[in-house]
Amino acid sequence: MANTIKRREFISRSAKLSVSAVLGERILSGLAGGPAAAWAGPAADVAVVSGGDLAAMAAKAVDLVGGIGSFVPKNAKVILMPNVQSKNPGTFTKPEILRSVIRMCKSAGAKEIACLSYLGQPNWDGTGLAKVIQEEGAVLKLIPRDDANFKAVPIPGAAALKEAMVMNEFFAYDVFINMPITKDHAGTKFTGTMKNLMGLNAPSNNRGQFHKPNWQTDPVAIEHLETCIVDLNTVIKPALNIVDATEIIRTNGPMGPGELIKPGKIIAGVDRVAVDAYCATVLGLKGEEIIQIRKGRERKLGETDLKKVKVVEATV
Amino acid sequence: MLVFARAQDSPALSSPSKSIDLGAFLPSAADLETWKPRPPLQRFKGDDLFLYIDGGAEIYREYGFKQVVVQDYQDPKGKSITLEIFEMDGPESAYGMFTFKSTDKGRPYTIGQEARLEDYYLNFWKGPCLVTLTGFDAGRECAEGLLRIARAVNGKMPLKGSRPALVDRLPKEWAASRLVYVRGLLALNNIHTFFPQDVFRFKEGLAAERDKSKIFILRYGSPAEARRRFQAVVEAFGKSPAYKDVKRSRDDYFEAADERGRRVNVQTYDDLITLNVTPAAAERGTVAATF
Repeated sequence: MANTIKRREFISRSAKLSVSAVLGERILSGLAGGPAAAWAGPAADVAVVSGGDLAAMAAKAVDLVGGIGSFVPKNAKVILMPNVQSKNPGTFTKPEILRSVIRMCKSAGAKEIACLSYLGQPNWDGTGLAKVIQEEGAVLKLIPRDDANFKAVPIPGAAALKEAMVMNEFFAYDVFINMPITKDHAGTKFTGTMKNLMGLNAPSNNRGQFHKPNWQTDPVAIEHLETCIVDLNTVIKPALNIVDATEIIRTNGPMGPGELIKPGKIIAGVDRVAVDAYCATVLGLKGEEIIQIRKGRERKLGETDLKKVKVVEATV
Repeated sequence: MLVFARAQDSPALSSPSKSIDLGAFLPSAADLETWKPRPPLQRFKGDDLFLYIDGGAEIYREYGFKQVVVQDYQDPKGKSITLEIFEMDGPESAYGMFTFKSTDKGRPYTIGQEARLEDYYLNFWKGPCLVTLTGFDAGRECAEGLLRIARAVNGKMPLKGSRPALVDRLPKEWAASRLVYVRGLLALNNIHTFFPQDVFRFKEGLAAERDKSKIFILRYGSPAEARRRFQAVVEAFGKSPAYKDVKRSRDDYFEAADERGRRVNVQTYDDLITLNVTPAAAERGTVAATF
């Protein structure tokens, strides 16, 4: 197999993996009351795990949404994308969660596990994420910000962002697992799974297309930003989202420093909109109040009504 | 408005129109006993703030950002503190960002013109500068490091400025509340979202929060402008499905209830529009503002 695969193939593979997870859920649901259901139970749409051991919490969350094998086939090349924006407490994905997910991917037989980033080495060192990547034998690929390292990806039916610019390197992988931290954001009030995808998109595109000239901060400019986030999410679909909501900032986001709260949760799911809608509640918000979440639902990326999805909570 | 104490002696500033040399405010290893600067020193000006605060630059822009320097300091144990010195458009902007970034949960200190230490970070403002120091945990060792570096920066910073005059118009009974000086809708909506749209179009504003009640004082260019905007605000409340029971008992006053049952009293006088948000009946027990 060639190392480089086309975007369509990548998205198709992700879709197949997601489909397998959905099928798995149906099969398990069909066995309700049978012996298999007694030990496995039907997969959750949104898994919410509390506790103190971050590695065990991450593992349990992934188990509840179908198990790592549902998302990472043997010999797959996997991208993990933790949030590494700032080293301030409560603003980046905890290293122990990344370590746990790397180990899960290895146990599933992943051939290569990498983190891609246009943010610099100091971000990865300062957060402690670089150390974990090195210790666990994963790969950190720092992508220079030049546009030459990003590939134009047209967005059919875009509401605002006609074309994304996705890292070339992204297309050399089979599975994408999105690993943000949920936290406050001064502009959009919330950041979670959908906004984290801007970390794969060219900085020039983020700045020139998502943000209006002169960083306009009027409601139109903010709505434009959130619409672009949703547009980007229509062409990149993570196979799985694992969100750090253990210790997060609820003021001065996304960089901090800000007021720390400790919900003590890790949240996982395939449905980004549902996961974000749940995460919004952790910050005391309603999913439908957040433009990107509401628009995600309107664009059929997922469900905001948490009564319509299966939320499974557990403690480890 | 900006006052430069000992400006002639200052190595940092030669005239008000020029940018400040923020590097002159950075403590050296000789200024600090255990903390040493760890390269690199980073500088960002104007729109390049986006490169530093990718995704969070908008709020600085709204308040009026000019430049920032960022320097890490490390102790012999490898613990790290990050120092950021932001030069804003003026003292009002620096004060505004200070109030936006601080809460009332921290402890005040006499550093700069106003300082607050909260858990693992410390903010102070002085003249047109906002200084933010971020440590590693909420322990004593971290707090001592934050205070040491903050005092060293303060000692090198020959600047002074005034708080916005609008602060003096806050009702006395709210003086001890958490205050946020706002310059635009982004900051306002972070405190309380009356409308997602820019209905108020104020020049500057002040928000105060105590218990579960909030007041907002929004200033306009003139009494006539405030009166015109008040009319638009009345109409916006009346049309919005987010509000009910909109009752206008006087030309300059109306009240409404929001979706959560909170009462919103709105009035205009002089060049102001004021809003008072009080909890639903079940949560009441706090004092409404008297303007």
